[in-house]
Amino acid sequence: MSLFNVFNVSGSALNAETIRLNTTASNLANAESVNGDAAKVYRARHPVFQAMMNTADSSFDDQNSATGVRVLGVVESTAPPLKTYQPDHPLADKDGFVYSSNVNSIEEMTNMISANRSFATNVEAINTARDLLLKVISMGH
Amino acid sequence: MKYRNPYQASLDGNTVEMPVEQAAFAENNVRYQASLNFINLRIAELQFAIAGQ
Repeated sequence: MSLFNVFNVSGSALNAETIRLNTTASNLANAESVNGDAAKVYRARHPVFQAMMNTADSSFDDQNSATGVRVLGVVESTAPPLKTYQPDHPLADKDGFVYSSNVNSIEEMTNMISANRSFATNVEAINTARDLLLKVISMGH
Repeated sequence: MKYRNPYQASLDGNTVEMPVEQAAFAENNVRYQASLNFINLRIAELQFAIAGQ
């Protein structure tokens, strides 16, 4: 078990947090987007993370200590879109209803703060592993 | 395989808490550097003995 595994594990974490920040940015950008069709309006997207267990065997050894994270995919929220009555809207359907996206801006901002903290912490882990490895190389000098 | 017990339960059952992990990481960092320092002192002892001054 070497320190070089930290680069792989934390690298996977940085990738996952980047995807999370991208989806959060998409949600925030489309928070006010509307459509006349409830099926076509923008729905909030969230990534799904999963731990990359290397072995199915969970015996007490050190082979399971380098577990990265994998993004399974991006799922759309099933919350119902906001329905407002605006007959003069250019995109209103035949009954005058307009559907807005179901993005919750407060939730997206907390996701953004959490992604920021996780990203910074994982960068800290990479920096620490790099410093320790450099100290090992310069051992005795 | 043992799991950490969280100080605060989470909605999705995730028992990872950032401050706990950061503290453990910092402690590990300090211990690692202390071990490297001890090894370096050992090597310096031997070099001192070899060089004689």
